[in-house]
Amino acid sequence: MAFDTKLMEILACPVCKGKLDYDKEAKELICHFDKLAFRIEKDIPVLLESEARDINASKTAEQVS
Amino acid sequence: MKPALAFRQLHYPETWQDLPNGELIKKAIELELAPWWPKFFGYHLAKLGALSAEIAISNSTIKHQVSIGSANITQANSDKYHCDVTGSNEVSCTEVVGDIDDLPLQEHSVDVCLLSHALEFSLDPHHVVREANRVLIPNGYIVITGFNPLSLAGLNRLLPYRRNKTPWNEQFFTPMRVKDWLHLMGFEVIADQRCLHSSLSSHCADNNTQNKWANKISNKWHQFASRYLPALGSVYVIIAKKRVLPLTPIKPRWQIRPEFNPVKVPTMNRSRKTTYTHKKSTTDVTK
Repeated sequence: MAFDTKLMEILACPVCKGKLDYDKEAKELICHFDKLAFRIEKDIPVLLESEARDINASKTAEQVS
Repeated sequence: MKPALAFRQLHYPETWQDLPNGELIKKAIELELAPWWPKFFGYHLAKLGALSAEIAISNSTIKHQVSIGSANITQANSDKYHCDVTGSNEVSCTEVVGDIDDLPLQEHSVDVCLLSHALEFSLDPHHVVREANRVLIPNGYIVITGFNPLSLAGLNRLLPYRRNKTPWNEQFFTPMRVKDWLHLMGFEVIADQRCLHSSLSSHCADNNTQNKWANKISNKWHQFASRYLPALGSVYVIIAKKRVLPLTPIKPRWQIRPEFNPVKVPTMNRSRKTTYTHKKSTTDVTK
């Protein structure tokens, strides 16, 4: 069972309630406003603020390394 | 009245089995809601919380159902959901891991919200209702179920040894109070039904097998109460519709002016008067 694309119509970022972008390759839902990436585990999106990955932080880590 | 906000650690039940007579309550709710599902129409149905996620909706016209719960709950139940999907035709059920306090859904996106026993087990019930209101589209439906404190099940709280057990250590809200919250949010309460006229303790479940007489009495009581004391059901089911006042500009109506109107020139009159008095005063001075 693939990730349900119908969900994209209604899903929103739990922090800012804005629209999310679906990143197919990384299997993540990205909120560009808050710079957060929510992972999709077994086709179930984990939309919790505590579980989200900070995009800015990971970028800076890459630049440093 | 106690405030709705819970200042304590909550024990959220992960399945209906965690509650005493949970299966019985679940079946009663499903029976109570069965005639309502075909009446709801739309694209998306959201089940908020783990308990509402388990409620089977078979005859719904809404083809897309989303259940939102915390992480361990959805993963434990995921196999069960997939079975349901294959069983029912063309209905797609999906899960989302999220918090019901912070719903990961857009504003005005969902047609029906199901909150089954979610208010009792949430930290801030007001906020849960507010979030459901935000997510619902205008004219969308909200379905709330919960334990009725004004019933035999509610009376269990008075027993000291039962007060510390799972459902009774949480705060129950009367259906009147929940309806008042809904009215405040601008909902129109369509139906308020009560079911299960029993005390719902684990002790009462054993009666079915052990004691014949007790079983008979409880059956009689159930029949009597459901006929004559319908308000004292242990579980309430409230169905409400979200009403929003649309912003329609009201045009002014055309009015026919009466033909002869007295001429209103108050400023001119006043000015003439003042000039006259002024003149008079000046003449006085000259005199």
